[in-house]
Amino acid sequence: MLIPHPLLGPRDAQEFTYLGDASLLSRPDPDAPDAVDAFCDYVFLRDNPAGVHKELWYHEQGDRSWLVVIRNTVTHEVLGAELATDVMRAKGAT
Amino acid sequence: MTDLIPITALGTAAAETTRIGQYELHENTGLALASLSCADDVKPFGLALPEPGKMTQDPQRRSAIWMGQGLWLIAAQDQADSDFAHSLGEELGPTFAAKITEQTDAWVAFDIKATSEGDIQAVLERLVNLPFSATGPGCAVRTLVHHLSVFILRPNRQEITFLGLRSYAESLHHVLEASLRK
Repeated sequence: MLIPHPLLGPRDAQEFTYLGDASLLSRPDPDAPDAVDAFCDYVFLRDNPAGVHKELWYHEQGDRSWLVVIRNTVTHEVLGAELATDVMRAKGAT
Repeated sequence: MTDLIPITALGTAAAETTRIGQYELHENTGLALASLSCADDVKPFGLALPEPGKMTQDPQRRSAIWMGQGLWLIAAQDQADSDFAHSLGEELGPTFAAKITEQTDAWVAFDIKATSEGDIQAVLERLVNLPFSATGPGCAVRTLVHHLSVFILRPNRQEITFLGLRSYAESLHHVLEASLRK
């Protein structure tokens, strides 16, 4: 499987480590009144779609960047990849 | 004071050069390295900080190598016995003091010289899971070679440098030597 790295071009998946659902980037506010419930969902509950899935991959044997990869879990087709830092900046993170 | 004897990453008293056919495999013990974490508008020793996957070098073969976003490796030949991180700090000034780390002793550098670019291509095609164009002259990429994490530096058409972690210098040397003998 090839991951289309936004900076380095197509790279073999063996250079990467898989973490999981990209929703992990959206960590709940620890000071919110419902923080316990929100963190319970954040840590333990995941969607498990058969189809298009946004997931986090770490380019461990490369430039050590985190990517958000869009992959079809049924066909393993990789539909795109973005730097996780760019995804978070687009959401307004600093 | 204890009389310490410096040895190379391969455990020998002096760097060894192995000639295999048209290739020369040499442990470059003189390569000084320091990492620099900053914006890309800085020019250490006049070197432009390169884009992803690239390296820049000057006539003295000092080079700047892209490691990751906002992170470069600055290298200088024949200065491994100097305090290179300190020299880089003096070059850039006190505001860069916390942005530089010494890297010389963390890495081992193996230089491969060949008589033609085709010979370099033959070795890279055996070792590296990347298109040959990604390792062309002026390229510097980090990838896997036999499950070992390495930087592949391509200063010119007939030379290639493998930078690996010093702790597995012997394994990397074995991989390169075996590949050159094929």
